[in-house]
Amino acid sequence: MVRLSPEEKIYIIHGVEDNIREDGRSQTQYRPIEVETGIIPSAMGSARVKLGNTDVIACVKADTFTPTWNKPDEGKLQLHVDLSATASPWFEGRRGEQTSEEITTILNKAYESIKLESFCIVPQVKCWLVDVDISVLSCDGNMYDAIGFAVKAALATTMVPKIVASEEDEGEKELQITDDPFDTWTPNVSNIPCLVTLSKVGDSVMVDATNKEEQCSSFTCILAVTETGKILSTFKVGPGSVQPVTFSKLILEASSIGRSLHSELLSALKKENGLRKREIHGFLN
Amino acid sequence: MLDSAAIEDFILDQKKYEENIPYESFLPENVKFKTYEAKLSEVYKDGKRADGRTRDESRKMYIKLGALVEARGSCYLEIGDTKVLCGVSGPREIPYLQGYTELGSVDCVVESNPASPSDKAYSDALKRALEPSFCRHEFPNLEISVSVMILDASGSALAAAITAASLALAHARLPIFDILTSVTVGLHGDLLFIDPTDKEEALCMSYEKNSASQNHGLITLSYMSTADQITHYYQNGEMDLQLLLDTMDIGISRCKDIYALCQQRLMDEVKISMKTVTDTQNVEDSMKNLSTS
Amino acid sequence: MAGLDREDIGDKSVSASFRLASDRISLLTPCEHPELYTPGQDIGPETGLLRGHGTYQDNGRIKASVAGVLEHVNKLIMIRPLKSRYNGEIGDVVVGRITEIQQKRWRVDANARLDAVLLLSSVNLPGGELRRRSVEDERMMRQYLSEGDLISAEVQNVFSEGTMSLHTRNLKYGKLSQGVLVTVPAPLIKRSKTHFHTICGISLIIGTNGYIWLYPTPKSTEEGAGGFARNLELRVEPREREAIARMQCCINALAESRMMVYDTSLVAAFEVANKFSVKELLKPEVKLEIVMLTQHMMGLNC
Repeated sequence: MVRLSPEEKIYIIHGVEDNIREDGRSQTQYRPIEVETGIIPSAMGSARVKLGNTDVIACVKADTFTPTWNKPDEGKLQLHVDLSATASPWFEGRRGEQTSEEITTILNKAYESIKLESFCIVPQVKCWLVDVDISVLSCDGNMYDAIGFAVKAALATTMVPKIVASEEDEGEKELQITDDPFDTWTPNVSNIPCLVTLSKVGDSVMVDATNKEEQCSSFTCILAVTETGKILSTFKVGPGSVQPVTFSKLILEASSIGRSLHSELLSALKKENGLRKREIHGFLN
Repeated sequence: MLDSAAIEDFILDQKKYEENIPYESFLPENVKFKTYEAKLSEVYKDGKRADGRTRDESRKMYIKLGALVEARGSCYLEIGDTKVLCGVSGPREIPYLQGYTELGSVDCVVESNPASPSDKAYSDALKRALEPSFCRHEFPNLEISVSVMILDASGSALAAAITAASLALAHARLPIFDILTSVTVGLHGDLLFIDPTDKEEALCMSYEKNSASQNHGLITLSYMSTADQITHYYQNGEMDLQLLLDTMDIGISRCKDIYALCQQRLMDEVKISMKTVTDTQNVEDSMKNLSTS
Repeated sequence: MAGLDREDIGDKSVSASFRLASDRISLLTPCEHPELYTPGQDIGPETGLLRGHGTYQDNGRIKASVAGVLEHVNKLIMIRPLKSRYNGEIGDVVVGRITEIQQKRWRVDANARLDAVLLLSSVNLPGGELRRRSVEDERMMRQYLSEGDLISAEVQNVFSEGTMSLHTRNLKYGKLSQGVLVTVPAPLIKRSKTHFHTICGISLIIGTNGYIWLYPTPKSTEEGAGGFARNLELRVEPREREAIARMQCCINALAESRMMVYDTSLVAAFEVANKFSVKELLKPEVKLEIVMLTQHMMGLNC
């Protein structure tokens, strides 16, 4: 990524502290976000989220698996991130692969504690394994938040075919996919978290950092926040340290920010659902 | 008992997702499917944990500096059954570096025996934890190599690794802002477990569906006591906000307790090495006196 | 630390607006231009015409090789692509970023196909102009300009393969201090008499290469841009920050709608942008209004 001069960094740091960032935003203001679901019709669910110049697509497909003995009625949610070389030549080759792996590990850990009993078909026999593939098409900072929105939007509009279990003679259940292609179910996304990235720049904390602002951050952490404001996981990324007092404030802020983000996202999805005539705009202007 | 055909199916199913099949899955049904209360009482019963501790007691810690003779700095750390060995070497030029970096870097490798899938994650976490504590501006274009071997991961392995690495850096006489200490704190229901063993960690990452409180999880944090800075923080699990903050506070105060112990051990080691130097000097002086007299 | 109240965080409500793709706004309007060519399109017979950039010869005919506008100067025919790398010409004022320090010279990224060079002999060293470059100077190059620093310079020379050689041997050029760098496609910049402007309360350097530098107007005029000292103590006033953010938004809006970026169009756009508060500037509707009103004010219709 572009290397900044010390003077540019100081300008950005002072700007955040004075609550007038480089592009005029305040510390708690996100760049304009655009969300569009159903962008990949062949997948069970998909969504594209543009957060400023950061552009990610999440794509959902579901498969069945036999649950392990110790979690007999829970499904699984697996995420995978691919950093496209079109996003930046930085992501080409080995470096891009390593960064993708790191992000994938962090994401999977973030979504680990979600309760997935609703993904069960028949306990101890079959559950749903939901795979979410995320492609980062363009990166201008704050990738995690965009991915969080995309995953939630994609899952909220996923249509998985229903599998019904019918009793056979010997008490063994037989599983069948319904004939009707419109007989689907959508996962309940109320416990899918949003990711909130908070960066400490100088003496202030801000959300939604651009690439340039990320380089000036002395401490960045990502929090997975549920709709009710509970924190599912927290990761500190990058070098940097923070005082415990500041960190506690950070966590409280993240919780309230997360709740606002959830309600905004859900109302946008509801509005999209209510559009009578829906064309897929995708990459056309 | 499961019959062989069922076992084969089970193995094939598991292999599809490349998971290691834990041996517990082959245990008899009555052993495998215990009630929640039975599982809990194995770990925590009548106010005492399996190893006799109360919930807010840490295990005994043992520190030996200079365990590896060939490394510039090294530290062997035991917390209860968890054993960690750390070696530090450098500084050396950053390989394949193009350009110029003003700040030095720390190259961390964590290995465990037997190899665990969390090794790579631990390596990244260790690097993130150590970087703020290390005087990077004194090593432009250079890197310090830190390698940690987890000999026995019986709970709080990452916390032990971070503390050991920081002590090894101090032993190597490399400039650091402060000694890092690290703890893991676990939460299950509303019970807090300080310095959990691996069984307790597994319990804290699970929850009882029908209980009133769904709080569970682990927090690992590392802290510089004099500088009052958290350098690493990882939390996983669902926790009420206030409980999370309280748990974090308890973790920090426990880090401060460990810090006193680490500082003590480091002082002891310095005293011993100073004594060696002054002893040698005394011998040299007396040799000189002998030769001139 | 028990019971940190929510009120302690202060009244910081987060603002995040989610919009749908159906509400998308485009700043680009198609324009009928008679002399647009696409690659492979026939321009005319070869006889009597000189072929310039963006064309190739095929069977006695001249054809276009890039998509763009036809330009002709007497007998010279060329196609000017509307999106191309910057091609330096002697005398251009550019803004660049140091990428590498080599022996006796710096490599500079100036938004061109190849990195430009800034020779040690082409800069003003502290201590006057006529000092000989000593071995000390070579070792101390990093003190003067290090990787990541921004400079304003003039193109002294262009080598055969296209590499530019820059110089800062004038007090108005040199290392840039606190401010914001905005990038626009180079073809949108006009070559003009002066590239240093002070408009709307801030100062700008409009580099011919598409790099535009916005910075707070220096209080004292004697401290020219030629100094090498770092100015990290200065704290820019909020008023100036707002102006810089507003100008940045105007530049981005004009660039996205493919309008030429120069002092007149920026003054017009800034006047329109003054109606909006600085926090609204990122909204697509605001950008559209800025573009449309600016086009109207400048009498452009497309």
